[in-house]
Order: sequence, then structure tokens, then C-alpha cells
Amino acid sequence: MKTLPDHIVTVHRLLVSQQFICPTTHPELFQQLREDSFAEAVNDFLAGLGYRLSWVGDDDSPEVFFCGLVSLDDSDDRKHAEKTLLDMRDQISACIEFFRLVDHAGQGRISLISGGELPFYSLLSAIDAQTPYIDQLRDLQGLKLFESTRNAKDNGDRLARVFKVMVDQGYLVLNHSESKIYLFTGKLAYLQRILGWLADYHNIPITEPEQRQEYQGGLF
Amino acid sequence: MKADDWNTLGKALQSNSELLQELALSEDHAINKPDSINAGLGWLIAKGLIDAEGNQLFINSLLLDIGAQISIPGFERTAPDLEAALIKIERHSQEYLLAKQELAHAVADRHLSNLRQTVSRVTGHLRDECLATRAFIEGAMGYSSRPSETLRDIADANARLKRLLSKLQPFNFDSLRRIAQGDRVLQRLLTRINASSLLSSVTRRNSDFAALIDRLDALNLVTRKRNRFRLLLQGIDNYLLAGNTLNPSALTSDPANLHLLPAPAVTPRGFIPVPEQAGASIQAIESLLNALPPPSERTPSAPDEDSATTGPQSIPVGQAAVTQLEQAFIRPHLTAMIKLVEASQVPVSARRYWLSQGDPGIEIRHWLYALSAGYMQLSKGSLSRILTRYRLEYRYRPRQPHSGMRLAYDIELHHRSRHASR
Repeated sequence: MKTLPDHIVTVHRLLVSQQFICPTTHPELFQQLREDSFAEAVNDFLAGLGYRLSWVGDDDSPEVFFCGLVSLDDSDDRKHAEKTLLDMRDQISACIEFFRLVDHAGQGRISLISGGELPFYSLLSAIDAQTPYIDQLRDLQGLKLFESTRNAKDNGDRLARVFKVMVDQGYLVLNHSESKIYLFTGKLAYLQRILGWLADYHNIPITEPEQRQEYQGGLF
Repeated sequence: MKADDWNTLGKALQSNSELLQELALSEDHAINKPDSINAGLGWLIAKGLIDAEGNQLFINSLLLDIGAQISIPGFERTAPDLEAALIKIERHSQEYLLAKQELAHAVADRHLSNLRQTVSRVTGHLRDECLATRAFIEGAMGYSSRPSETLRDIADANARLKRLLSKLQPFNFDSLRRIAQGDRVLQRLLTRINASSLLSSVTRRNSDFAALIDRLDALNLVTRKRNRFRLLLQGIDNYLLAGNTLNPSALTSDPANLHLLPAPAVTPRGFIPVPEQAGASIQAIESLLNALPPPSERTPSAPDEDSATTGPQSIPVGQAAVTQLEQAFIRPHLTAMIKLVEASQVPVSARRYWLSQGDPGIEIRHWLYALSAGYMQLSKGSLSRILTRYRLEYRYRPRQPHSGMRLAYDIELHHRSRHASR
């Protein structure tokens, strides 16, 4: 019997076990998936199982690949999709609070995009230096997603637990263990895509603060 | 502006240098007017270079710009005119060659040192531009907190580098070789490849600038994405704070975006492999399935016409049809195998048993399949007491590298107590 090359088997295995393939987590496999012939072969394999190769990002620069649904005819597929979406909805507020803390304490130097670096220690020292950030970090423990941070010893321990939750959720990956530099994964791009869809669906205005003020000024 | 005015300005600045430093450092904060105002300060105020409001002094932006121009190195500083520099290089070279022909060595040396100065100004400027852009990219991209301003800064830096690249076009090998006119000293200064010549510096910086432009483009994209995500988070957060709830389940009714829904994990599932003689195998399976007892069905009895009426109901007794349950397909074979184990005191291979005593019409793999499935049912059901003393052991083929599925080619029946250690 003809055996398939190892990297194809790895891509198949990752995709059918709900993994997201992005340049941060699997750089080589991601590059191969960007080649049309390879992507078509993987798509054919997934089509045999009733799924397809999906991605998020522009057509010419995808950010993350995953195994997506073709239809909702199968009740298991539908149940799983609905459960995933509801889980995501329950986590959105907590994620927003975490991203806001990173954005504020990082003072705009941390790129909240897939592939962006998130250095643990510099974020921790930025938080330690400002009481509002310490409060913001402490407030995270009130959210269900971060309830494991409740009995943390100090700010460092608390932030480490928050990071662990985000790693478990697939949004972060440890890039350098000694200096504790984390990277945002392609799952962030996926979350962004879903949030974008929700903003469109609920007609939520996405505007610059200065434009928003002008808009509000018209009300007075 | 006349020489006298420059003189007055210089004196005014000189006599107030301490105060000007303080004003420049405090920028938009005011400084109290000193008790005694000297003539120079009065002149600066009168000319609008220092603004006075009541008892307070502010530095004018015009003066601040001059200060920045003088003291801030690199990026913010205005560039030397590269076109003029090329003309100067050409002129100095011509004059140097002329003086050399006339054997006026002192004049030639003077022109050569002028030429060297001009070249080093150009290369120094290119180096500064390169370093400043790199510092801009690797630093915090300016000090503006607004993303729109950051984007503008990036676009400015990008446009500046592109302008610089186009200005460097005339500094090519042909034009510099024409200027050097084959003179060895000029060649070393202008066109030699393996030296710190003007051409090698320009070539190196050209590729540096191209790389920096690429990095700025990438930075532009990153900043846009980051900004877009930040605004999205703000928008969603405001929406939630206003008491609304998000409804991501609606995504399931949007056929255009179905591909965004992740598929459930696919676990390896067992199936009977279909070899070349697929038709015959499928027939064999179908015949095996047909041979299975029909599923027990309960025929719905017609509702009693008197069911609406209350009162005692007569329940018919002993009318239920009791049918003999058909014996499981593997049961006689399993019993026979147990007897063999008891008789021989060694594990019995199901494969060998089937070859010697089984039904030749049923293939071995179907028998193994039936044994594996039926054993579980029987060990929970009618044979549970006996089967606790035995166990099945599977013999697998080596695992295929691309599949999690394993294929059993034999099953052995072991006596639990005697062969437990094997």
C-alpha cells in the first residue's frame, strides 16, 4: 500500500483533531498549506470526511487554517458548532478584559495580532508599576474564564495563571521558555473574524474615538 | 535679512541663552517673566520669537524648530541636497583633474579634500537615514498614541525613503565612472567596489532602504490590523455594556459563512476493509446480516374503545406470545472453544479453530469480527458467569503509519487464571 509522507499525515491529524494551523504554532506546515496543490490535496482528504479546509484572513494572505463545516445536515456537526459558538460567546467578555489589560499596560507596544509578541516579564513590570493595571488584573479573577486565578499568591502568580488559561484556550503559545516570551496564535485571528461577523450582524459601529465624538457632538 | 539683523538676533540669543534653554525644555509650560528684562529679551518679544502673556513667557514654535534643527540629529534633520552634492562632486573632480594635469599639487590636494568632505557628507547622511528609520521601526514608532498618527508617521517615513531612493538614482556606476575619468585616486574614492567608496556605500544603502521600505509596509499592515482589532473590541464591549447580548448561534443560519464553523474532532473509526473482490465480500456481509434474527418489534395494539370510560379494566393474562430467542451466532463456537481451552490447557486461536471446525462459507475475518463483538454481549449477558474466567487477546498486524486503525488477524481465548501472566 502506498504510504503518505509524514508532513501530510501530520496536517491531516492536526486538522481532524480541531487544531488551528498558523505560522506561530506550525510554521512549516502553514507554509506548505499556502501552496495551492498541497491545500487542494488536504481539502480532498477532508472532503472525504464531509468537511473542508477553511481559513481566516485575506485570500492571498491567510492567517490560520482549520477544518471547517460544509453543511449542517449532520446533527453532531450542528451540535458541535453551536456549542463552540456558545462557549466563545461566554468567553468574549473575559477575552476583551484580558486584551484591554495587555493593550493598556503594554502602552501600544504589544501587537494584538496573530504572531505578535507578548513578553511576560515586561508586561508584569508594567502592571506592577501602576495601581490601575494591578486592579485590572485583579478584576480578571471575577470572570468565569479566569476563576483559577482567585487564590493567586501575588501579581506574578496571577498573571502566570491568566497566561496559562489563554494558552489552554489556544490564544497564546510559549515561544521562549527562559525569557517567557509568548506569541499570539492564529486563533486570535479566528476570534477577530467571528467578532467582526458579530459586529456586522448586530450593526455595531466600529469607528475611531475621535470620529465617534464628532458623531455624538451632533446630538447636543 | 541684513547682516545687522543677524547680529542683533545673535546678541539677543546669546544674552538670554540660559532663559531660552529653560523655555525650550519646558515647551508648553509657561515661565515667569524675570524681574529685569534686558534689551535682547525685549527685542525677541517684540519680534514674536518669545510670546509674553501677562507675567508669563512662552517660547514660539519658530524658535523651537530652529533649536530642534540644530540639536536633534538624524531623522528630523533636513537632508543635504543630493542633486547639489552630485554637482559639487563633479566640479571638485574636474578641478582636481585639471590641477593634476597642471602639476599644481597643492590645489589638487585642496580639491581632493573638498571632494572627500562632500562624499563623506553624503555617505554619513545615508547612514543616518538608515539608522534613524531602523530606530523608528524598532522603537516605539514615534511618540503618538493615536493609531491614525502612527500610521501617518509610518507613511511619512516610507515616502521619505522612497524619495531618497529616487534621488540616489543618479549615483550609479556609469555616472560616477564618467566623473572619475579613469583617475585611480578618484576611482578609489568614487567607484571602487571593494573599498569604502561612494558607489559601494550607495549600493549598500540602496538594498538597506529597500529592505526598510518592506519592513515599513509590513509595519503599516500590522498597525492597521491592530487598530482594527482594538476598535472592534471597543465596539463589542460598548455593545455589551449597553446591556445587549451577542448571538453567535446566528452564524449557523448564515450559509455564506458556514466555513467559519469548526468541525468536530474526527476519531478513528473501525470498518471492515474492502479488498479487490469487494462485490463478493459485500454479498457475504449482506448474507450474514440477513441471517441475523429480525429485530423484535412490538405491534401497537388497537386502543381500547372503552379507554375513555373510567372504571376497572380487565387485563388479559397469559396472552403474550412467548417465542424462543434465537441463539447467538457465536455462542456454540465460543462454548466449543472454551471446551478446547479446558481440555488442552493452552490458549486457543480463533483463527485455527475456524479453519479446523468452522463454517467454510464464512470468512475468517467475519468470524473474528463477530466473535469480538459477540463476546462483549455474551460476557454481559447469558454467559457472564463463565466468561469471567476467560479473556480474549488480540493479535494485531503492525500499525500503518498513516492511520490510527489497527487490524487484528487473530484472537486468542485465554484462561484468565492460568495465562494471566503471559
